[in-house]
Amino acid sequence: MQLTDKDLHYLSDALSWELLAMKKCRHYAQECQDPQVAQLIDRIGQMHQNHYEQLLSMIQSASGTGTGFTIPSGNMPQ
Amino acid sequence: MQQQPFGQGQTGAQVSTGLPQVKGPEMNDRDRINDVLAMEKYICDGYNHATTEASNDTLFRTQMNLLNEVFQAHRDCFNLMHQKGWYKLEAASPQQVSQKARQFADYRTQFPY
Repeated sequence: MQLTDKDLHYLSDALSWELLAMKKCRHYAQECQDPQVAQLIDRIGQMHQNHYEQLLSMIQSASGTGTGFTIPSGNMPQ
Repeated sequence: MQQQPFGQGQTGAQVSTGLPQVKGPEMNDRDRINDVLAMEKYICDGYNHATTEASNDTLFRTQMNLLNEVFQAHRDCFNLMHQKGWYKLEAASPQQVSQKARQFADYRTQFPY
């Protein structure tokens, strides 16, 4: 997959948000008194970690360093 | 949080639970989930922009998918806060609602199709 400069900017931003989000959720979940609130926040934290992996694999497959397959450059889908 | 009278009583539980009676400067569960709610909203905005500007379909679909999940996480926070009475909403007045319904129904005369 070929990424544009703009794609890469958005991906970097999103990765930073996801990293901060998962840390914050983990921290909050451990502090929460109410088990319902703790559980929801913890689950959301795990979701953000999962998102991070998905976004990272987009960049990895574009750079050819990941496990994902690479579409030859200059052959962008659609 | 004091209970407010809620006109139509349509939106479920409105009683605050599980919070200290006297609140200090330290964060409580309500503050924490409120912060997560705000964060999810912020991330939704980011993915919204990123998705609309994705250069290829693989990226578009991935981001669309993540956007969807973040929306859902935001909704889950809202629902839990509402259930705990930490997110109060006021019912719109029935007069205002029917006035708007009439106003915009009348605008249908302007429809081009």
